[in-house]
Amino acid sequence: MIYIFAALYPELEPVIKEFSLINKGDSVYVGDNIVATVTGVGKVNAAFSVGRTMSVYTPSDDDMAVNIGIAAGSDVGTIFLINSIHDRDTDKYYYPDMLYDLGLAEKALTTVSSVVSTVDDNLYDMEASAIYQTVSKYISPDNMFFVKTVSDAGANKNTKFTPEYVSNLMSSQVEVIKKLLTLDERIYINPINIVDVYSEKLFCSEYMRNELAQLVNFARTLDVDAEALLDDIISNKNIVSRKDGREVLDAFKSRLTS
Amino acid sequence: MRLNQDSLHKPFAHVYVEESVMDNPDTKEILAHFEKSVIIPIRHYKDVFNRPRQNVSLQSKCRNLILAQNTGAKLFKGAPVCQDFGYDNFMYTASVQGCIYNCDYCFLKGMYATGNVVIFVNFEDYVKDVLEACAEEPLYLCASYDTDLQALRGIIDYSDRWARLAARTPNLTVEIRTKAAKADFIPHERVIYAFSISPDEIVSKYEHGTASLDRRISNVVEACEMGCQVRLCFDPMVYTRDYEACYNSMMDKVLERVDFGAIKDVSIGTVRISSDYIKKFRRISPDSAAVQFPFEKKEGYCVYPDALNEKMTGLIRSRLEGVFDNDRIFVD
Ligand code: SF4
Repeated sequence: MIYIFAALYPELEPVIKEFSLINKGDSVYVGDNIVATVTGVGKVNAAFSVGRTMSVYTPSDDDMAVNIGIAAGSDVGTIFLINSIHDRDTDKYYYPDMLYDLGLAEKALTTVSSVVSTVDDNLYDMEASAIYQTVSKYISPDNMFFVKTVSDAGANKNTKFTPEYVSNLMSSQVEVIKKLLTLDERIYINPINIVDVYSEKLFCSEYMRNELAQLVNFARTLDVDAEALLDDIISNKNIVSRKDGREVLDAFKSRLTS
Repeated sequence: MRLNQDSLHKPFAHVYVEESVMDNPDTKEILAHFEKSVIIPIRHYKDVFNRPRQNVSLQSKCRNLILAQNTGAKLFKGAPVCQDFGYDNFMYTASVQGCIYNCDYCFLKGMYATGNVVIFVNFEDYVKDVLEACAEEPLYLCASYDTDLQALRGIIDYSDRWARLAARTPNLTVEIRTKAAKADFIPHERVIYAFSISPDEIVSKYEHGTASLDRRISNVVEACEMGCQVRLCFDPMVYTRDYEACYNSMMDKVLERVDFGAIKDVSIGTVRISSDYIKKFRRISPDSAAVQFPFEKKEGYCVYPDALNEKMTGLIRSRLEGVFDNDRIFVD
């Protein structure tokens, strides 16, 4: 699953259209493997909206979070992957883990509380640090991506922020989302749960069940057919009590480790 | 588990550098090796190194580098579980934390929240502390403790620096432990090169990225020929179902090529993992038999059952019988 966050609707619009996301209310748009949220502008709005989405959809560590949007900077029209986020108010730094090569140029970004009038080599936005902080409670830093397209060189530069202007700038970020979706293919292991089956056969207590699960997993790492080995041990035994089950477990362990 | 890992960066595609060490000569020398990498200035290495929820196993495939200065402790007393080889004042130091190799059983996985590597470029501060520690009494220093310094020789020459320091400091003996392919040694009576020796089956399954058995034996032979102090570490031995065949064939090769008359001593031991960290190890390496073994808990460590431990270590001891002096074999 990919969670996408953008401050403004026009920033998200190309993604909503491309992936035919459905409006679920509360500025949340949902599609196949995507939950996208318009957070509103500024850190407080961002933290609140991200927190709400995360608590409703309860992501796992393996899911991804992407903050897309525009930022002030000197290379107008260029798209950047952010490798360092500085919160100017708190003077704290945050670092998304840069493990995947998305083919994008990288830059540092500073999150500010009011619109900047001039820029330097950094990018500037108003939400990223709050999004990082909130998302990091749910998702690992290798699965956080901050993608920004430079929209203007600061408030003094008279850029006209029409929704069309922003949506046009953002259309190239759709390709980044497509690339992230290909990364999000998983191996889903469908366990034939022999632990359930044999813990019943062996009258396992909770403790024994955990031990059995560990041994079955160890057998898998050794390429040993745990089921066949257990059947072999059980074949000449009459198991009627937990004590009998304990003996089978001990024999299983001994056959795997000697 | 993510299937698609084709898009992972190459190792060290990013180098995080503390702003305070940007002009350090070692920083500049190290960065010269990474001209294509993205350099990210940082304020403190812990902001990157200690981030919560890092994906250690993924980072191990494309680890990044951090250059920093260590303003904290630089010397530590050897843990009781470590073999002290008869030295009273036994300490270790970590001028580098994290390793470019990836051994499933490595204690670094438990100690640190990251698969990244940090090189502390204030090496002279380490030297100062070590010289203080050996001013009054002899010191045995494990210099390659939180890493494999020999493996980093292409980036920074810390293993040579430690060796040269020992050579000019009568109270200091330095041990440099390695599984690296790179061979370059400084022969001196107080510089011990400790080579971990494992069968190829163990190397390929559990010691990812390290040198093959043949390469390691060649390094041992070369170090012996140069007159180095050489320790052979059959440690940690890792259980596999055919461990007897694996370790016997390894010993055939070792005994055929190594002149045991030139070996200082030998250590033998099996895998042990801190009980505090075993859950974390199993989460990081769900498919590794080296950490999924049903260990027994003993004095805070997960260890093999006594009988198995004795059988495994006994195998090496018996192969060394009549070849190497029993008094110079240390068994954990
Ligand atoms: S070579 Fe040593 S330090 Fe490096 S991963 Fe292996 S056990 Fe750990």
